[in-house]
Amino acid sequence: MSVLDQISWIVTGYAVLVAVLAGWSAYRWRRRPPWLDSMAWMLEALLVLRAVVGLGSLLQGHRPEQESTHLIYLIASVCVMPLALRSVQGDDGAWSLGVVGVAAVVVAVISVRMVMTL
Amino acid sequence: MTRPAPPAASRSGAHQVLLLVYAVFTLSAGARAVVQLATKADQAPIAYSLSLVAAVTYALGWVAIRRASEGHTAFASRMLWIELAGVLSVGTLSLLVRDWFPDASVWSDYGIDYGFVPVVLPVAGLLWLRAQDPERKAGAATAFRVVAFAEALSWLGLLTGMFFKYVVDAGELGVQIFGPVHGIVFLTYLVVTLITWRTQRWSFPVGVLALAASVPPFCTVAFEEWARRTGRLD
Repeated sequence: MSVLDQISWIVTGYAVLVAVLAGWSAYRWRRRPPWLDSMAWMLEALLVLRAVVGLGSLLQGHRPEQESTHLIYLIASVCVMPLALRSVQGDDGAWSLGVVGVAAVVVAVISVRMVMTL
Repeated sequence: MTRPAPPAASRSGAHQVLLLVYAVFTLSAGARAVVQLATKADQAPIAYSLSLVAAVTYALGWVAIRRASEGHTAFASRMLWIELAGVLSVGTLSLLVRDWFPDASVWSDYGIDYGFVPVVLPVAGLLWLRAQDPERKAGAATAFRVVAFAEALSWLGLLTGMFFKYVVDAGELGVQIFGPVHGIVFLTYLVVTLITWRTQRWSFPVGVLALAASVPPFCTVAFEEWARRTGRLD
């Protein structure tokens, strides 16, 4: 398994964890805890790492199976979380947990699709 | 010196989640349609064009929900129905006229590639829209009754189809039609149940029972009857 695949699977697992924690807190109808934002930013850091390594391998001449699709996923993967967190900035209501949770699910799906299109 | 807080663009609420999902679907359907039309348009022109239509619908849906969250619900109350009709028509077309869909469209098989989210999304949007209107707060309970009944009906259709396929051996058209129909109604039931769970303040066992009722045939109607009699669906 390539390094890219390994990072992608770690990202997927971590994203699912963030989604489950957000979903659980939303079910308990809590306010958004600050540590969830920290976890989401950790996830973003992993995604940036994945994107940098992925971009590096593209520049070295590796051609993914579905190149344009893969490139779109690569760009989307790093944009989703910051945009979601930005949209709930200064709002820690229970619904904001839903936004973070959905964003984490989207990230998980994108990172699985990235493995599939590589 | 502190600056006054900027006015909140929109209140906290379910629309925040809806807006994110609509944005994600606008981008993913749009990117998919553009890439496919640009690289292999001649393979499945109808399917790819319909994907583009889906992307435009999601963009308009995003605008509609944003306006509705600011109190202007008129556009959303039309747009969400148009979206639901679109998903259902394209989904049905993709099952009936296979020739038009050599490759999948976003709404093919009622959005099976996207975990049926396309068909659940407008329903969730419409439920949210109803909850926005204080005079129609009871809408969620009504929606639960309707969906519980529809779930039982789709079971009936699927069982009829299975009867003709396995017992009479008269082809599997019934199963091909009612399989996906039942799938959609089942998922809609789960979503509506989760909403009703919250709005009716059901206890954890009652909520789990409501979800479990969707598994055996016709049990959703039995649950609905019981919930109504015991005052759990006001």
